[in-house]
Amino acid sequence: MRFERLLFAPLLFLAAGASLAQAPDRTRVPAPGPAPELRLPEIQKRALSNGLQVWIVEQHEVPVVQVSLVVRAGGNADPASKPGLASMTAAMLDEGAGQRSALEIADAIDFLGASLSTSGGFDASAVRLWVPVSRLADALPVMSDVVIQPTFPPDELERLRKERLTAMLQARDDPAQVASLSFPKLVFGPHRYGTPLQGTPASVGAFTPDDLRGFYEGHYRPERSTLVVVGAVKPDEVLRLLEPAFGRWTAKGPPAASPALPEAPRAKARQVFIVDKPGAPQSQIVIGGVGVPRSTPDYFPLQVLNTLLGGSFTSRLNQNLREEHGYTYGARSAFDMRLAAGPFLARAGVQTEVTAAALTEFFKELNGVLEPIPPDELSRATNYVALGFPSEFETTGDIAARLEELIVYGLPEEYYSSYVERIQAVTAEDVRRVAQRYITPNRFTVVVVGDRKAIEAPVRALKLGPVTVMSAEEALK
Amino acid sequence: MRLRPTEATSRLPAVLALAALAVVAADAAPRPPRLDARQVTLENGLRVVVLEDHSTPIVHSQLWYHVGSKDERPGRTGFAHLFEHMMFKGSKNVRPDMHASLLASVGGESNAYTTEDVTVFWSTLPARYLPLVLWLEADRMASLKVDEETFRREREVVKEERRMRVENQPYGRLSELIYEHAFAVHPYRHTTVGSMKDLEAASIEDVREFYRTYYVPNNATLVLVGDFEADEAIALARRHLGPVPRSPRPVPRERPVEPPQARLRRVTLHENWPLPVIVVAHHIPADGQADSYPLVVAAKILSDGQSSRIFRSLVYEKQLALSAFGTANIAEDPNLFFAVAVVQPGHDLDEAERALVAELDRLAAEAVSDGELARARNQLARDYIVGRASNQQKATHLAHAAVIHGDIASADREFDLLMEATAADVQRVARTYFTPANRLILRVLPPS
Repeated sequence: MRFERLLFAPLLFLAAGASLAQAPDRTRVPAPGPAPELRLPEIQKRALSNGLQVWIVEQHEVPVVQVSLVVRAGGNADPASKPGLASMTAAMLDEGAGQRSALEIADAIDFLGASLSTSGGFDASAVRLWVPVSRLADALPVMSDVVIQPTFPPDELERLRKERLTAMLQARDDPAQVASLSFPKLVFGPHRYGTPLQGTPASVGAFTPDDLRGFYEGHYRPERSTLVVVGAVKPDEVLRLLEPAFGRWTAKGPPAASPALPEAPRAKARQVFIVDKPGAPQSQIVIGGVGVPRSTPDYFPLQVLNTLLGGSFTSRLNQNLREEHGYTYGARSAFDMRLAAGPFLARAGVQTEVTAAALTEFFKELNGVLEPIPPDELSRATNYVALGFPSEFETTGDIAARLEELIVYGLPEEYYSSYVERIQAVTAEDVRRVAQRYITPNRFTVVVVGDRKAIEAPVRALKLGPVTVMSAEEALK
Repeated sequence: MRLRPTEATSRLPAVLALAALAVVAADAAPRPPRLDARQVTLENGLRVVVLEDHSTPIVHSQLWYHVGSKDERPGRTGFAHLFEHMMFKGSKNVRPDMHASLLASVGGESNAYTTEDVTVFWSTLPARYLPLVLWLEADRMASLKVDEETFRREREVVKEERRMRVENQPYGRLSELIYEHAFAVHPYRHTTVGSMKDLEAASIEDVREFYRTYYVPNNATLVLVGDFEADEAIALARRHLGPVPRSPRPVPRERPVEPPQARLRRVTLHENWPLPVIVVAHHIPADGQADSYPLVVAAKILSDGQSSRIFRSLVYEKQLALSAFGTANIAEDPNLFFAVAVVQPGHDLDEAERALVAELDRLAAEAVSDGELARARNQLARDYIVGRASNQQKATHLAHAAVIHGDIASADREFDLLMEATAADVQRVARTYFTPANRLILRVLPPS
């Protein structure tokens, strides 16, 4: 009894305390505060003596600066017989440059507490330096060597080659990677987008230092590049440092031809591919086809469409497959917009036993989104994109990424100022129109990477279309 | 007193050392901007930390509950994480689907994660909607609703998360294997995701009990960073979360203590992974202990960047490993410093093990050079700056300082502790902890 009373007493006290205080009313959603104004960063455009364009955005919150050199050539410019060359060229830039060896470059950058990275995407390549402002003058000569005097040492190429080949071998054991690599191959076939950005074991095995040098000389040129500078710098001061680092850069030899990639043909009928991973506890499902290029006039309605279909936590695909059915940790969709039309895909990793049921739900949502969208769902999706837009400009890195996007896709400078307005202008009719045009469930390719023994019969029973079964090795060949 | 003359005789080298330091100091690592935050504790025990940042019109909210997988009772591994999921399943005034949809409809993002020590709920949204997120947090702290069907379905999602992150991925079980073999009694021996069997065994009564015990204002810390006036943000937090009652009983904090390891442990296992893996792990002291700072510096020297020792030796020069790294997992209770190598095909595991151990031994045998130490300091300064760029990152550092160190000032003070760690400190901690008796050597081989 004593114990009970002792335990009971504080509870009574609390109950009394709560009723004396302002009774909490949580039955209504609280009203928001006043609307703020988004101050978009101003871009200051300059040029170096060799014509290299420089875009500068001042951001003085933190004493750091990011300098990115963007080259408008990537995997899209790979020679047909050498897929992965752009990617390997970018990876090799900081493995030897000027008088510096790979380790000397790494040492110098690490010692300065800076980061230097190189990347080769499908549409562009880049060298990015992040550095405290007080170390910018020390770091730029290293970045300059990497950009304008790479040496492509043969022993470093051998080392990177070996690493990439081992990684490709390892990918076969990861069902998510098998799905990511086999889906584009099955959708795009011989088109460049059908082969991984890094190339194939055969192409990677054959690159020579001369191949890399050839790609570099043909594409890494001042007139095809732009410097992006974001951070705690004044334009005049930073130009005084950039001029000696990059103003002496001149192209060697003639430019390489850089024809635009063609559009890949779209599938005429739905096909199903089962990639066998014996004993896999999950099935990786990817459904989709050829999507749209970044230049599509339907960009804004597509952003809204994808948000409500599979681009957010509250999207239809995630609500259905995760929240209602518990089949997956997450289902999503995306339009991968590149210079040419990249893939549209919807995907999830699901429990092996529910593979067929999950496919049914996927198609239910892909077909459902062709129907008119209820007004509240549409406004939630437009608000999600429009009101969330300021977060895209939070850090130095965020702003640099937005600028790179303008450069690579040739978007007008005022693009972001009208972004929110253009999203909010998207109507239900716009969404219906683009859904009917680009979401074509009856012509999508379906890839399922999982345990064939457990999933083949139930998947065939869905009668989605012709079913092809293959091993991971065949799928990645 | 008697030692004085000896000290005097050593004065000369000390002066020289100071002169050398002065040269380094002129070129010292850049000082990251301070996090000038304010903290108040409400009457119900909720700690509120606010930091203004007017650069973007957004606000980030982070609510930490001081409970993680190390607080789980035996037979319920994975429960803290499973419970985290239940917090999104509705409360008295918020329908199960409303939490995410209300935030999405104002352009917000929210999510949560669970670690060994804490459970964190975060949201980023336009600053004017700060009242909305506080309201959502208050309602689920005060009046979570759970029903059997929702619980069962969410448990399937969590099991699927385990399959995705752990079972269906090469090397996905690596942490599980390391911790299971490195710890004998402390709950760090199981990882946050837990076992399928224990997830299956969890009941809705467990959910209610866990909620009553740990999801109380006196076990929580709210951190707000963004475009607001600090006074207003504190007033809003008080209005929404102040009325949530404190728990009548203290939050339990007892945990089994891991006894010191007496001798070298060797374990060989088989997993269906593409390449063999070698792990060399050592027990180290807890977060906030003096020795943890030189251990972080040691990890930098061993493993950050292409010029770090482990990368240079195993990956670059000997090309024994596809990847190799060393990391100090500094946590609330004593945790592990472990070095890992994924061995390249055609290389001998003994050779890879020797190469990893050699790098740890070398740290104990000889002091690191001035250049390596300066590089590590610069890299730590870089991490400090780059790791505090967004509101979310700032909030995470402040919350960690408040919850684990009990003092938001530690978010800045730790920078000095790291900068002050000397070559002698690094050598001393290497000698203290990187000993054979304190070591686990784990080999994970392809199926035999």
